Amino acid sequence: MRLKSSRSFSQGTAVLPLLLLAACGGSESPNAPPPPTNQPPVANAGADQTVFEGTPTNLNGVGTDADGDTLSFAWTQTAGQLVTINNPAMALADFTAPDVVAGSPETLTFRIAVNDGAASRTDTVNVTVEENEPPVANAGANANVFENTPVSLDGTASSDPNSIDTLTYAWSQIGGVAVILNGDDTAQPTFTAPDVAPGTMEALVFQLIVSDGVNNDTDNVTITVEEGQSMVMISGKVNYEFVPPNVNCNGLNFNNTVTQAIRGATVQLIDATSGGVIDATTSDDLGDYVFTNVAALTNVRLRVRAELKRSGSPSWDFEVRDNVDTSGNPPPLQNRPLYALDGSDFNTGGSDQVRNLTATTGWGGASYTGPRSAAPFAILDAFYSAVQLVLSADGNANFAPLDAYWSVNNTLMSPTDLDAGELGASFYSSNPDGGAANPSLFLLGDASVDTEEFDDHVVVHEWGHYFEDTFSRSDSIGGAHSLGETLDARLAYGEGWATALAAMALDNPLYCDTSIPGTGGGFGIDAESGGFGVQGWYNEISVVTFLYDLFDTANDGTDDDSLGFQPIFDTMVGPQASTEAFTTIFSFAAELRPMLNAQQQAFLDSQLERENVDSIGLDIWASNETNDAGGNRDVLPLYTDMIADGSVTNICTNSDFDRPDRDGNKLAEDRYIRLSIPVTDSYDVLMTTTTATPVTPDVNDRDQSDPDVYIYRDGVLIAFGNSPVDNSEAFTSQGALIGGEIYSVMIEEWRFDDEDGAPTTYPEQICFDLSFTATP
Amino acid sequence: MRIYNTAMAFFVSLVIVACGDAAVEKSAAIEEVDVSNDAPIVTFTPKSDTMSSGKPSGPITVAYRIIGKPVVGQPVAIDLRVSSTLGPQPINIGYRINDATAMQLAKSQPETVSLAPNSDDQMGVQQVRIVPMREGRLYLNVSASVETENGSMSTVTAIPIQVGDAARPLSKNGELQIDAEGNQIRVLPAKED
Repeated sequence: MRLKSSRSFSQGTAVLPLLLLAACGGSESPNAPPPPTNQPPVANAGADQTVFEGTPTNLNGVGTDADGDTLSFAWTQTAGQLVTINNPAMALADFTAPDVVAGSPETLTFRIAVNDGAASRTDTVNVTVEENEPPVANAGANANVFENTPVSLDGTASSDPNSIDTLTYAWSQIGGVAVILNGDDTAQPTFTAPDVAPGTMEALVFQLIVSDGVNNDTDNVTITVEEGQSMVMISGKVNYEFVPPNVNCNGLNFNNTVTQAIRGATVQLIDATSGGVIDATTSDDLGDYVFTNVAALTNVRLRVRAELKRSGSPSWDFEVRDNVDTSGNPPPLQNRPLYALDGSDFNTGGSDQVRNLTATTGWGGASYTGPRSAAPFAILDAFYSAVQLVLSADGNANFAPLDAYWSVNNTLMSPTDLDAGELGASFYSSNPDGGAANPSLFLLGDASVDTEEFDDHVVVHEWGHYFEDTFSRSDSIGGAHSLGETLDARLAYGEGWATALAAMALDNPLYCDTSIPGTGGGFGIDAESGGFGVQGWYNEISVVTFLYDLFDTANDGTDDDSLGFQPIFDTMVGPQASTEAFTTIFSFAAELRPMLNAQQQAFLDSQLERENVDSIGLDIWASNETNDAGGNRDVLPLYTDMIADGSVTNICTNSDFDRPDRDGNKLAEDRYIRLSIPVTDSYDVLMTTTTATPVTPDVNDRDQSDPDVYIYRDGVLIAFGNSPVDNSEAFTSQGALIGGEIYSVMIEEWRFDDEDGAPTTYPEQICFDLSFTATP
Repeated sequence: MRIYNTAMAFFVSLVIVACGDAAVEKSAAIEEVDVSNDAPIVTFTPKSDTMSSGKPSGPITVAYRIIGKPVVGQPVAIDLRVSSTLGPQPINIGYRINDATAMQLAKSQPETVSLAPNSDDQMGVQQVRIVPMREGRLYLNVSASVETENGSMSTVTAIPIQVGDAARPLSKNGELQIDAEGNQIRVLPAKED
């Protein structure tokens, strides 16, 4: 075997040859390594090209060899019209592209062979030869424009059959009043249409020359300038996207997002330059707005404010604002930012325009990815629905101002910190900010926790508390409450009223409360069928179903009639607002009954009976009620009768329905007294705990009874005693009680409410001796 | 939402309502004011004087207590007490973490649990263990569902877990501007056609 000397040479470097000895009949070294194997070269004929006929064309060949061998090159033509290759033995060769028929490009194929002396490799390249065809100029369609408006010419439709050509543009004016053409070397130059005399038109002619560097073409366009309108109309629709709940209220159904009108909101036309308000109007029930007599040729933008405002009679003032401000120096609550929806700037031009705006959800498919523009307007529209319900009963109703506070940062956290957006819950407040702010709703919006903007029943539920507060009266004591719980009668009525009102206002009995968007969480209340807890006057769902079935026209079971909203409204704003008793289902039903005819009274009675509320002998004091919540202690009578003559009555409270954590608002934790006053005088009130409350070893335990007494007349607090004295409350009424009048009294064991320390061993029933004695 | 400090446990209830969230301190003073038939007599109102009860909570509620101070990389135990007003039905609990970079369930922590009521028809305390992976306010989503004659009823509750002292990052929505009257507005963009 012949020994091969393998030489590796790098430029300018001498490398010692490596002698490989092979055993072949007499090698000097039988253990020498075999000679290295030659690695063939790599051939690269370059990238395919397209060239014009007659042009010198390079063949850009490259050869490489891993061994560093000297390479030789050889170009040959393998296809197409035969040409002469110059320098075929070089890596870089060339030829002149032949003539071809116009419109019929021809492909020539060339092959390069690269040889390292031992091996050869090849590669091919295609060169497409085409005739350089002239471009086609297109100056755009003739058009009519208004005077003094910006105009753009459009030469972008110009073209060149040769894909490799780049076009240049040259515009010039060849007719009409001279204008200054900006960007006359671009495809889309601009100018301002000149002023024309009234009743006349001016034709401007422009010529476009396009070139591919060899050939040119021209085209003309005529722009006719006419006198425009001096005043125009801007109109359109303002809408928001609403997300309905899934079936069974299992989350929001973003796949079924609908577009709804923003009704009754303030729409402004804003001067885009100064920011001033040019005009303002109110969107109608279809979301339509219109601005007439708007100056032409003005830069403007449209704005929809998240507010409903109407003056006169009826009147209202509702706003949606952002409460979150962590600056450390926040403005007063009602000066926090109002939400607004803005369109983009535009020129009013010289003719009428239609411009529609839509507030979108911001949902990106799996989470919120964009601005949540729809939310404030969804809240506002829920208000609008509630207003319409009230107006159906009183067309001249005047609504007290109400603000809704919502933010994407309003999250669930206790204690409530409005500036930080930390809310214990979504809630209504009659006098937030210490009374400096309007009655307000505070709504959750943190998508990681819970959002309310599309839970329209929740929004109107809270609005229902506003209604009670401003049109009627509520003695509800509030507090945590879950569906099906056995509640204080005042709380049950207040909550049931609010949920029923939502169903009425939205014309939908299904109250949905969804939780975290995208998770499918949520629950629902069907105002038609209820279905939570034990039916009775202490169950908010019973109140919901009772009220809704009085209202609706759907017949199911004993719900075979309808009162509509009017008598319900009349009762709430009339006798319920001034009832002597606390506001419960009893006061409402008893005050409503005299307004009804015999058939309607029978219907009312049937709905009460269905909810296990005795209709026989119905009065505001529940005097004849027999439903004692399943035989539980200290439930009935709802009002214990007492005379303020110094006689002592023993009365008990219990927290049987308030386990495991007490909230102090369940049935029997507060007890009611119907107090008769014999003579006008101040009265000494004495309430003494008669149940033993053992002292616990923990000195921090608040283990002693703390009785409290509150005396009301027609819902107004007249006198109270709520000292922290253990096991006793003794006070003199803050002024005289009127002889012959009836007062509603509430007594409570404060430890049932006490957040901070009633031990779990605290008795579940506490009894008191109570007396009212005229002062000497 | 009230924070209940009882001798046994310190559960933060997510039974959702605010009532007198500003806790009403009892006053020992008794004001003597003039009485008339027309004028309101007193300035103090018991219980909730400024807030309504808020929206009703669903029939399934979740109360929680985070045990100890959460630290990145260390398991955190959370006691849960799930309550239902739907009767002594088993409650199916599921734990979901939306942001896997934020936390993970601890090893051997099952993703689902079925709770059965005790002899007092109360649910016992259920413990879940998670491992925070970063600082900040993290959320563990707890789903609770009950089968009823009307179908499955469920709720999803987000339990906030504060790891470290970093303040909750606030999201931006819209641009703060001043309107023509000099009042603050938060401008949101519209889709136009």
